[in-house]
Amino acid sequence: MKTPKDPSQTYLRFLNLVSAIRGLPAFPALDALEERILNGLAATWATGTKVTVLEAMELTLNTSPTTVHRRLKSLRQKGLIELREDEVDSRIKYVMPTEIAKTYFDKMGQCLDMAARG
Amino acid sequence: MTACVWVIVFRLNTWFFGAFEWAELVINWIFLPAAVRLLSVMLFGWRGALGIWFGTMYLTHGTVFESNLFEALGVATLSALGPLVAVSLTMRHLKIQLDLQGLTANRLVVFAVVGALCNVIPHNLFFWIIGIAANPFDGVFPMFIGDILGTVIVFYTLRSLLVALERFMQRPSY
Repeated sequence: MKTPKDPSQTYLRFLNLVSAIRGLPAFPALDALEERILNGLAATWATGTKVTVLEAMELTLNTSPTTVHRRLKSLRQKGLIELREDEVDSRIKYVMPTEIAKTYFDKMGQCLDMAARG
Repeated sequence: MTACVWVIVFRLNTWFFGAFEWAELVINWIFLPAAVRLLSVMLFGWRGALGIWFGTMYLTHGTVFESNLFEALGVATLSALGPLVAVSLTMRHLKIQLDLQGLTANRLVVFAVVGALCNVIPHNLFFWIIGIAANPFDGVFPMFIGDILGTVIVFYTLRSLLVALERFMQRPSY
């Protein structure tokens, strides 16, 4: 491996290295639609209502149920939601928040508090 | 500078995580200096590797390698060459430029894994050849996990410091 002779190149290496370290994920990144779905689910969970997968697929306006279903799968892979079977009818599955999702909502709440305080 | 940081982090690792040693002063389930090795070579190239070499030579005092210069030289050379080969191979494979342009967080993880492999395999072979390991395989897993865990801990500590620094700099001044 070559060593940069120019000191400025060492500095550039340092900057690129810092940028890569700064980019390490701290929380699973969500795309805009995943965020909308999660927010929609949170609003329903807050009322104490259980949300089935079918209901979740209809929750987001102007988005096809197939797309929402795909995003529900990705949210599940990212560990933000889990599916729980109904105790009586195993065909019904409920979408439930995980601990990570609860932490996410807590963090968002803290950010809003900070923003409100200026 | 690299040699000093390497020695200090090595000592700190023994101090904090001495209880996790798999083989005394040689293999640890958490090995923070693995990150120093990688970062110094990524930043300073062969000069970083030279620092690692001198640091390791110093650290061999008081260990099983002290009495045998060949063994001490072997361990120091492997410690220095491993990250050099790993960084060089990974940069070439991922087409990362000399100034590290194109380096992302995901690619940094690749560097860490290749760095661990380039350290673990030659070291364990060497330990087996000089007779301090019964076979070249037993230490591979704990050493690999140690390198990866150590690197992740250091990377995330640095990340947290960067975030804290950013927040501090963005504070409004009155």
